[in-house]
Parts: sequence; structure tokens; C-alpha cells
Amino acid sequence: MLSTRSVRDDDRLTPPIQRYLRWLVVSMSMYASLLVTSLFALRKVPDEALLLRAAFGLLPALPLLILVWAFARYIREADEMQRQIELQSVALAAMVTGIGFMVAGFLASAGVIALKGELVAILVLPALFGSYGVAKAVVQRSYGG
Amino acid sequence: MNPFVDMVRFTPNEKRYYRNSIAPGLAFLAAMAGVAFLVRSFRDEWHFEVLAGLALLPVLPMVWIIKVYIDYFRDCDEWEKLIEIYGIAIGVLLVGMGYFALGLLGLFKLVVLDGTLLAYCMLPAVMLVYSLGKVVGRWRHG
Repeated sequence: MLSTRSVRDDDRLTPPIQRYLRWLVVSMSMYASLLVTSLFALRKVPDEALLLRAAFGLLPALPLLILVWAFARYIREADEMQRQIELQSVALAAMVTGIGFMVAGFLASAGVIALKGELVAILVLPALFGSYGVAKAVVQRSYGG
Repeated sequence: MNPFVDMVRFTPNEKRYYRNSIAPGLAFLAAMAGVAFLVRSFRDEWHFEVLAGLALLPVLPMVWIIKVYIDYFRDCDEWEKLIEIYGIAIGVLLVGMGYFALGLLGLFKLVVLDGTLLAYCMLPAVMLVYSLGKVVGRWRHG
């Protein structure tokens, strides 16, 4: 009984995490719908209207600003321990991703692999998110979590 | 307290970090120049595996630089550690966003992007924005 209660307490999401998750769902839904809108709009906009095309092209990036703001707010509201874990995870993810992309750059310049510019640019943020998830598990473990 | 003035007022730990960074920094530059010369000269003569191994050589001094940074980080006090991590987090988020925006423009054929250059520039870009993030961190945390 006691152990069941303690497991439930551990699983309960704190209000800052709940708020962050809410904004995550909102921003990701907006991202998906804006990406579809932008894809449809770009088919209709003529090639000469470069500014309009750029505006539609950048439209899906706007919800990511909300995501960054929500993450910054979550870090501000989290307790000391959680903040330390989150920030250390981001730092670790940055190093791993940065070195990974640099290695890819070295291999591409030696002609070993070919890199498409837009693919590299698009992949940076997902690679950071992915390595952040792994890094968080590692850091949390080091804190005994 | 002025965060911009504090950026150029080094603690003994920071001085040690910058001093220890010189050797791996020079090793990185030498490795880059050497590898670029060798790969360009022998691209058609050497085996693919040899070229790949050679291309990855500059990663070694890079790992050395990161080890020096980790040593520096370990010697920082709690407040300095928070500022350092704050700087990295801001650097990562801004560079990630910037790259994503560029990627969208590239995907819709609005700009032409060089993949090799972008991959090379990611870590230096994070390092550059990290310095800016450190100033913000010092300003926010007094």
C-alpha cells in the first residue's frame, strides 16, 4: 500500500511540467497545421513573389518559438534540482549533437558522404531534441532518479 | 554588476581554462589544415576507408577541447555552473531555431544551402551564441 502510494507520488506531474506539456501539445498542433497550410500556400504563390514565399516558408517556425518560450518558462518555474537536470541535459545534448554534425561535415568535405543543405538544417533541432531525451535519462540516473 | 564587464574580468579558473585551450586549439587548426591538404592531394589515389579515417582526425583535438571545458566546468562554483549551462541552453535553442528556419527556406527552394558548410558551422555557432547566453545568464542571475 505504502509502496503503491509512493510510486504514484513519483509519477504525478508537477504543475510546471503540466503547463509545459500543455504548451507542447498546442505548439506541435499549430506546427502540424501551419506546415500543411504553408505547403498548400506555396503551391499557389508564384515564384516571383519571393517575400511572400519566404513568409509562408517560415510560417511553421513560429510555433517553435512558442515551444522555446514554454521550455524557458518551465526551466524558470522548476525547482533547483529539476532545473539542474534539465540544463545539464541540454548542455550534454548540445555537445553530442555539435560533435556529430562536425563529424558529418568532415566526412562530407573528404567526399566520403554527401550532405544536402536543407536536410542538415532541418535535422539540427530534431537531433537536439532526441539527444536531449537520451541525455536527460543519463543525467537523471546520475542524480539517482 | 555589469555582465559585459564581467565577461572580460577572468577568474583564476577561467584563466587556467583559456591557457589550457591553446594547445588543443592549435592542434585542431593544424589537424584541419593537414587533413584538408592530404585529402585534396590524394583523394583519387587513397582508399575510401583511409580518407574517412583521415577526415575524422580533427575530432580528436575537438574532444580534447571539450575535456578541457569539462575540467573548467568541474572547478566552477554553483553560480558559475548555472551561468555556463544557461549560456549553452540559450545557444542551443537559438541556433537550433535558426537552423530550422534556414532548413524550411531551403526545403521550399527559397535559398540554396551548402550541407557541408552547415554541418561544420553548427558547433561554432552554438559556441558563439553561448557567449551571448552567458551574458544573459549573468544579467538574469545577478
